[in-house]
Amino acid sequence: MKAAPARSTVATDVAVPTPPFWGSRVVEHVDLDEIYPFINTVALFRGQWQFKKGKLSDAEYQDKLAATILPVFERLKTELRENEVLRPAVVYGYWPCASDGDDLIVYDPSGLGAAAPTELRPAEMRELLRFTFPRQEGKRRLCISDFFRPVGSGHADVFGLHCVTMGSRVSELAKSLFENDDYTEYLYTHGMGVETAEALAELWHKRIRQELGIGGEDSPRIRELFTQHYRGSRYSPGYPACPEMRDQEKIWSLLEPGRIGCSLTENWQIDPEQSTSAFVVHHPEAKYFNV
Amino acid sequence: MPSRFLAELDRRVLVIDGAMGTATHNIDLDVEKDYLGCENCPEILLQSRPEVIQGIHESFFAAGSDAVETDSFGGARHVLAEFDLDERTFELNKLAGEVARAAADGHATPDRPRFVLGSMGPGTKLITLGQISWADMLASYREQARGLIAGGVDALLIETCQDLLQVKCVINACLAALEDAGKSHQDIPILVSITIETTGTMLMGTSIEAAVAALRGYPIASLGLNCATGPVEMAEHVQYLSRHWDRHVSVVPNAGLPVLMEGRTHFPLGPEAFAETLAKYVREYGVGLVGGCCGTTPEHIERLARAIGDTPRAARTLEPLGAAGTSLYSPTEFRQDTSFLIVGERMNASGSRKFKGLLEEEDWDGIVALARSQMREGSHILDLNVDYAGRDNASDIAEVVNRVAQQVDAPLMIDSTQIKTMQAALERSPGKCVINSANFEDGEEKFDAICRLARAHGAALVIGSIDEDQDNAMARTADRKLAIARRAHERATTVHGLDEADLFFDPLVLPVSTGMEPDRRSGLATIEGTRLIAEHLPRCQMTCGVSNVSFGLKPAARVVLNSVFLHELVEAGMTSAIVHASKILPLNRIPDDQQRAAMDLLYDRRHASKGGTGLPEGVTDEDFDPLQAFIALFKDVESTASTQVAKADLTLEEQLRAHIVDGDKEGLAATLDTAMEKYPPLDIINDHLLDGMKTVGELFGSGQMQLPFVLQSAQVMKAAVAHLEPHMEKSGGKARGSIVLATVKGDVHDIGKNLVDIILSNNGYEVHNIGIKQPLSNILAKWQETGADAIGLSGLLVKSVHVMEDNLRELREQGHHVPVILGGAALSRHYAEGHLRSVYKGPLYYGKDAFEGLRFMDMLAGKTLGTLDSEIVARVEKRASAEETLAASKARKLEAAAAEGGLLL
Repeated sequence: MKAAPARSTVATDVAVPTPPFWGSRVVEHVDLDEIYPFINTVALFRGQWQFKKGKLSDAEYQDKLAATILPVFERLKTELRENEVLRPAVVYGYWPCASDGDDLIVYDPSGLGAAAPTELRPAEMRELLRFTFPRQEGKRRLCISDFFRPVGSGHADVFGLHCVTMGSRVSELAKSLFENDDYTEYLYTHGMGVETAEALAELWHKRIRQELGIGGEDSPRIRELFTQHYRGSRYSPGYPACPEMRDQEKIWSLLEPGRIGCSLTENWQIDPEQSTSAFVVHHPEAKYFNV
Repeated sequence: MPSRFLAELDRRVLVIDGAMGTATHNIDLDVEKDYLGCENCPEILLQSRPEVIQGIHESFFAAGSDAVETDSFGGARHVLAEFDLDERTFELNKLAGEVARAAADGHATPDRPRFVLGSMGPGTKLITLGQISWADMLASYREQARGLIAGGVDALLIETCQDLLQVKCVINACLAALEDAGKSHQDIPILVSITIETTGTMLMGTSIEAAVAALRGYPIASLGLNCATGPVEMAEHVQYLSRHWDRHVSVVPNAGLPVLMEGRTHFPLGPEAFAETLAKYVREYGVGLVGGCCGTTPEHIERLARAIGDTPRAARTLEPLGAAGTSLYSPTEFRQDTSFLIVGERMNASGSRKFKGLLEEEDWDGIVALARSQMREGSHILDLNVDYAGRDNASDIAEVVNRVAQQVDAPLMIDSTQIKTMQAALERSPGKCVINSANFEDGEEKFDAICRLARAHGAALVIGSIDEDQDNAMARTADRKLAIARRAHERATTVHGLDEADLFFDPLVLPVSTGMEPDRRSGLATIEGTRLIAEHLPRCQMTCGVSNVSFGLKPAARVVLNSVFLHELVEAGMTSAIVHASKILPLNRIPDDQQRAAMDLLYDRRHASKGGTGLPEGVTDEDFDPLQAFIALFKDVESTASTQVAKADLTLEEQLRAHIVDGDKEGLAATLDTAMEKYPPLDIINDHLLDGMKTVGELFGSGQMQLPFVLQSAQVMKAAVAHLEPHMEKSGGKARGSIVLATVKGDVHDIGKNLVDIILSNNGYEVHNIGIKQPLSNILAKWQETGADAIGLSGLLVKSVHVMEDNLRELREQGHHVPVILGGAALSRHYAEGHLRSVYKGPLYYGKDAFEGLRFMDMLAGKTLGTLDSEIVARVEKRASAEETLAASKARKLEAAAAEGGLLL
């Protein structure tokens, strides 16, 4: 038997986009009306609120949704905005990087000005830390690090990170609804919290693609963004391609999400609950995969 | 003089300028010296620094613009009033035109003319929200437009529109100003550009589809998009306009999506990418007018002009849209594919006692609720009639329209006999309405006035078959119904220029229920009249107030007659009907004898000697009267339309159950109090309320009830128990069983566990819910403290599955045998029932949802867990044998392949 190749066949010559800045930035104000359209209503209605289709035809299910669930959805969007229950905030940024086998080396972004990654030599930069991503044993032998220029290629690559949160108010409200036996409202509010946080992650991922100048491949239909109809991918710690939750600590050291009120629990989950963080990868071959 | 601008636009793609605001911000201007104290009023620079404004125009012409926009974005009178400049509205707008004109004339050559577009921004007040009246807004923009026209502009550009009602108002203002100047929209065309936010709609929520449908009837030369986003985000809307807007399309985006960073707005998109996307829209979607909005500079325009220079404009293939009405939000086509257009009839002060009551009490929220409930029942558009003596109808309808238009996604049919009332409604309606109705009863003058109203407000129009005839104004025969329809059609389309697809003919039905001779054929004449009008005017719409046919009959009889009549009308070509949607039955739900009787009545099947159309089959009695026969049939029948049985008709026991199953708290306390006169509280819970919860569980299990409503039921259960508890003896409230619930260590997700808590505790179990991130030691301590019958572990993370496994191993090592149930998103039934069962020595089960948890508790309490065990064994065995078969078949394939030598082992 022939030994399997060490690396996947992911292209190493994809043009590297230039980020608008290096390092991280805090965005304190995002309009909820900008986030709401990015809510995955299928995930919200069927997943969170468990409004199941069952044996209903598509038309019957849509009618039922329109009669019962859509009015609730509209009401909640207004109430959660007006009562300032949802308080979106984002911290995101760009780091120079290079791959080294299964490792992704992250370099110090300070003092780089508006340099393009192609002007940066890994050998001349200070290494901050490394992520080590697992590699598929079979299939294409994919590993997240493969989506970045190898350290020996002569210049650096770029990756993005973001951490988004809906704040702690929504969890507090859900808790008090449960404790006051307002069960239906509890289910609705909790679901809205989860899915608006996801929506903000989706929206900000789109913003990052625009800033990197790779937004042109986005589907104009928001619902198709939920199935990765765009260039690249975003991976959150705990996903199949990057199951190591400890990576959150490294993300924290780079991104400093404490600035938007997010901290890590002993189990590397984010507090407040309705928050999420992710690696943003620009490579066109990067999509979800299992290890 | 026909517009040179339009002629050029037909010939080639024209490039407009970039941002005026961005340009003035980049010039160092003094608030006192240059802005004359009017900070943020760029129009004042026309007076103080005209050379600066002209210079900005010149820089864009030099960069390659074919047209520039005047410095008059905020030049409407009510906007200038904020700087105390309202008295100078005409003068400043005229100046804005002249300054741009001078710049344009300096760059124009005989074969390359340069144009001036009179910019008219959205202003500072939203008319749909009632911040300004129609009349004030109209006067304000009319004055601006007059100034711009006097200043020599080539077109009027209504831009950055956020509110559909504002667009309609400003178009009217422009048309009036053109008329004042002795010109028409063919001399100086009107261009409209709306702003679609990142949310995918206009600020007020209007979709591009609704904007197109609502603005199609106006004489505007182009429709397009500007501001809010960069070009890329506009793609799908541009595509829609390209396919469905039958005139020119304009696209004037920002330099990308604005990003707020460190307190400053920043537009990130560079000239190259900006120009590339717009060139693509010209090439692929046939866009005719391009330019830049916020954040675009002369560099953007230069790249754009260069890119457009070598880009051929695509020929567009238009897909015609059917005529439609719109709400503030979305359109509704007048022709419904598989059905007829249902016009909800219940908001009618003379037809609905409920509505009249709401109006008298000025219960506006109640009216909105009535509107919503009609939409839920299946209405497509809503009729609104507030005509009612003794009230100010115009102010009533303005109030109702204002609220319904914003809160209900339904086009409105404005139903009145008074022009003043119609006008008050239309001036508050952002969407495209239908006016109901015009006729010739008072001659052509009133008919014409209503047609003009339809034209000005872009509305469709219902025309009733009534004319000036002294004796019989309302047409009673099919032929006269057709004759009036043709006369109205001719006048509305040729004199007033209304689109025939926006005309609804109402052949008007009189009750057949009076028994009087002239009314006997009222239904039949309407059916035949419908057939004739549909044949002769096939592109027009038709409608009818169906329920009038059955006026005076019992409700049950009305439902049947209305439904059968409507069916006959639709067969004859009727395209819509004004009805109470939930009181129309499909024919298959009406018993045959009732259907037959209704048909006999509608077709006047009396004996020929009595003036009828001939007796129905099988009837020989010459005196047979279909009306009497029909009435007799319903002597003892109650309404068949109402499917919801009133609670009062149920027995007490049924009422208790119904409260739970329907999740209905209304009247709960009273029902419980009555029940306590008959049963002890504990029996009410155990025998009746829990029985209701059992039904809820079954309905959920069979997919007939959704989780939010299950929780609603549990909530009522909780309230019921709380109401009964004070009346119970202490020892009476013994639980059916108890469980400790926890989310495992390291996991913060509690929704799944809490749902289990809700269902179990409201089905009579005691639940000790100890929260999230619980180490096994806490769980065990609670279990020992309470002596609970079982432990439930929950968790959402993949990692939590490993924690559960560790916990089970620990329990085994400590020698516990307590029954455990597991649940959570990452845990599969197979893993739990296969592998984890082998790890733990006590009874272990998997709960896919809260009701499986309930089943487990029920079996635990009933000591029938054996059933559950044998189910699991059966499942595990079945899976093992399936896997075996699969493995065997794989092995056979491998062997076969090896035998052929195709595989190197």
